[in-house]
Amino acid sequence: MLEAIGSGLLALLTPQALLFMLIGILYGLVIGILPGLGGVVAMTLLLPFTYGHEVAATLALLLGAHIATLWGDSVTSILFNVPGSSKSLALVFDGYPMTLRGEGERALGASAMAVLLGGIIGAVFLAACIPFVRPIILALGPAEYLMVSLWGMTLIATFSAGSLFKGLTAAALGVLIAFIGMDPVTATLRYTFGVMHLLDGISFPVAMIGLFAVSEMMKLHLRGDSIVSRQVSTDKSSVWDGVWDTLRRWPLVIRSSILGLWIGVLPGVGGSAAGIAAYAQAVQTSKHPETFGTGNVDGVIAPDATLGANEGGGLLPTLAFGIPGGDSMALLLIAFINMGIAPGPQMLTNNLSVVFSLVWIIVLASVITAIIGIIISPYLARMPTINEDLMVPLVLSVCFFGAYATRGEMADVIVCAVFGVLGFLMEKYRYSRANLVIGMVLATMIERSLHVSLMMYGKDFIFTRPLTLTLFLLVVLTAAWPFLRRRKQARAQAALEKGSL
Amino acid sequence: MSRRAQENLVGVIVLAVFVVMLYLTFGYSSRARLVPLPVCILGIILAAAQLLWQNLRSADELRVSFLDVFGSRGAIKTPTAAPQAGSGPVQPQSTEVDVTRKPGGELSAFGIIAILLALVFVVGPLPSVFLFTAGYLALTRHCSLARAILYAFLCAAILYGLFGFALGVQLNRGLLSGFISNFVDF
Repeated sequence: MLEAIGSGLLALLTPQALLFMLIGILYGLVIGILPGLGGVVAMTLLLPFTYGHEVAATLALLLGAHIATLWGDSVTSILFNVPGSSKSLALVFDGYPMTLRGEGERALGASAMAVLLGGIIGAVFLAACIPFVRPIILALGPAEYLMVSLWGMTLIATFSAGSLFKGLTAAALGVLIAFIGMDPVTATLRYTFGVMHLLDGISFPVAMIGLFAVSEMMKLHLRGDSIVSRQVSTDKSSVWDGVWDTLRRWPLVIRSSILGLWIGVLPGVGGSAAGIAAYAQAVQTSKHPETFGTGNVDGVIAPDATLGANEGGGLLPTLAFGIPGGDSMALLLIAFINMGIAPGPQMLTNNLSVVFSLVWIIVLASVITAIIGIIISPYLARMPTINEDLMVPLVLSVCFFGAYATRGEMADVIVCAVFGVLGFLMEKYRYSRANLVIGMVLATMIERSLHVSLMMYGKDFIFTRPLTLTLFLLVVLTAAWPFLRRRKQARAQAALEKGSL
Repeated sequence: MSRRAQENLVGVIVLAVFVVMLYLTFGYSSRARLVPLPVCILGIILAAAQLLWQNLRSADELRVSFLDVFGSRGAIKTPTAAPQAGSGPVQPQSTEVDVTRKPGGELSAFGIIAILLALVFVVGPLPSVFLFTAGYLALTRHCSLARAILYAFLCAAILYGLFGFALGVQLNRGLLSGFISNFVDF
């Protein structure tokens, strides 16, 4: 084992491997910053380069690019309210309010450090769990995935603070929007109105670009002011504040990383749900849940730590069983096959040094990304102070271009514009955009897991599977917790008022 | 139009959307509507409740807190945005869409989206970036026409470099190109 750890590292210390990793990271950062494009796109475009090079160098290029996109995606979420990809959606809830408050540098620093720590925890977990991972993965099934999705839904309460009915209505609307297109279970066309483009459903990244970025530019155009005024931008926050914030909140980082690992291990759950679940966990365990959505740095740290650790978790089923933990892991699987390596149980015996090379790539790529992130954050954080007359046309152009580039379809540009207007109106009439997106992200997974659970375990599956029942009780408890805490606070306040009288 | 009338109009539209979705849902098989059906019914109930609620309360009280309803029976008012420790005195800018300094108000915001969308379809994504950016900068008088064209060119070149060249995205040429190609080969 120790020999494999050493040889895994040595394979990466060749000039070619180091150069490939650096190229991958820089490329990943650029792709991540482009709206709508994330790690999957970055890896897809690199696949043709996986022939004829050293195995470690090729993996460094692919995985390095993928890891760098995690932070790249966070940058636009934090600075412009534009989710770089669906994974980084949760970053807009508190990252952007921090930017509005002039704390963009702090948010970017916290984000870079959280991705780094999450990545390291994920890599260590991957290395530690390799010998005894099989029974854990086999114990989890679609019923458990369903509970994870339902847990994410408890977040709706957080974003319904303005209006109960409007918050829930937005979530219900999001669920229905997610069902547009062909139902993968029954092959039924739902809510397509005969439009061919809608057969594949609404592209999630395109909808998000419209909902958050386009509507934000419409607001900026109306307001006639830059996102952050220059006066606010010269405040006291620095990138190091964010770094220390993350280090000080180590319990949150560890909790979020473990959550990311767990979700990563579940095949098919994906990073979008992971980010939202991490945010939900941060809100529910916080002493000040009411500050979330207004620029609480915990709301930046938790999703990024989860996404960082998610990679290590996702590698486990990919390497151990040849079952990809998500889209990006499926691409990695293709790269393995291109290189003549067969993932599966024999990977952990015959190619153990390759497995440890992957562990080292996650660690090294996370460290290099964090260093680059910390260096460039002060410059990036100045971008929101650009005059709105310059910002509006530039960002709108990038958004429409990004929407088109996502699938190369002109109809996606219309979807982007429609969601932009929808986002603008929702903001105006206080229908939570966050709840709409949460509904969209989790609906498909809930429906798919529910169908499979009913088929596999029958209609009483919640009560017949102890692990599912435990998770279900956890969901109920976490959903009820804000209300219980509120009652307690109300009682304490009433007692205090009585005492003062 | 008063705020209440606007809210009612939006509420009715939302209700109508859910009703149409429910109607469509009945056309699907029982398995295909397993989740959509209850969601549609829930949506109708929520939209109707919102409509009722906002017409029973004064205009100032059009919002209701989730926590106040189910948490403490209104014992505590809706929490306001508490500043983070160490965040200093600087308050975030308002995120509500109520400040309209630009002439034409909201119509101009919808207008720029419509213009950009039309440009993308007529001339294609890349030329539309150039035309829209140059036009916007020139019309808002942010800079001189020459500088606006320079900025627009740089923006279009960077986007082409990233998407068209580096990522290999096939750029659509728009309807105009198809029309012109009927007369001229290019």
